[in-house]
Amino acid sequence: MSKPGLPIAALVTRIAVLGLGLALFFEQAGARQLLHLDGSDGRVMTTPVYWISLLAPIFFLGALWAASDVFVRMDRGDAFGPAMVRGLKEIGGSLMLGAFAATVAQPSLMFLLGNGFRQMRGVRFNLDVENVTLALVGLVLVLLARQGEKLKAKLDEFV
Amino acid sequence: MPVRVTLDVMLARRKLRARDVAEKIGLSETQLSLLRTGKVRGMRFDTLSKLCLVLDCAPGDLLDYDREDTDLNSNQD
Repeated sequence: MSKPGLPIAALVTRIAVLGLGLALFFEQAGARQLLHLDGSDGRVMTTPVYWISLLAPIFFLGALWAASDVFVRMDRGDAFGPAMVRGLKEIGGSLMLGAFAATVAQPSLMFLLGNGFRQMRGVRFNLDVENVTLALVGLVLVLLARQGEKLKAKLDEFV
Repeated sequence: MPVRVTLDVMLARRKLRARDVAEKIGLSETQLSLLRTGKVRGMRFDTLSKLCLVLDCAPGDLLDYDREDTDLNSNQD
C-alpha cells in the first residue's frame, strides 16, 4: 500500500530545488545588472549571456529533482527495479550534462558571443575540479545503475 | 543443468494442483511453471522450505542430480 504525501527527504529536496532555482534566477540577473555586464540596462534576462550562465545550474537542479523522485520511490518501498534504475541514470546523466555545460559549453558559447561569432574556431575549457568531480560522480552513478540492472535481472532468474 | 526439479512427481504423489500450491506459497503460476520445467537459474531457500511444508516432503524429494563430470569446470556467473 502506498503512503500518502511526499517523504521528508523528497520534500526538502524539492523545496531546496525551487529555492535555489529562484535564487539563481535573480542572483544572476542582479549581479549582471549591478556590474553593468551586459550593457543591457534592466533587460538582462533578454540577453543570451544570462541564459548561457544558467545552463549548468539548471542541469544540476535537474539532478537534484531526479534525486527527490528516487527518495519518493524508496519511501514507497519500491524494489530496485526499472524505475529506480531510470532515476539513478537521470541523476547521473544530469550531473554529467551539467558538468559538460560548465566545463565546455558555457566557456565556448561565452567566447563566441564575446567575439560576435567572428572567430568560430576552437573550443574553450574551464576545467574546475568541482565540475570534473561532478561529471565523474555522474558517470559512476550511471555505471552503477547499469550494474544494478544486470544484477537484478540475474536475481530475477531465481524463484 | 544436471540438477533437476522433480516437483511434478511430488505434485502427482500428493494429488495437488500446481495452481493451488503456487497460491499457497505466494508464487505466480508462471514462476512455478518455470520452476517445474527447470527454466530457472535457481531456487531460494525460502521457496524450497515453503514447497517442503506444503508438499510435506524434504528438499531431496524435490531435487535430483544427474552426475556430470564437467560440473567442476562450470562457470559460476
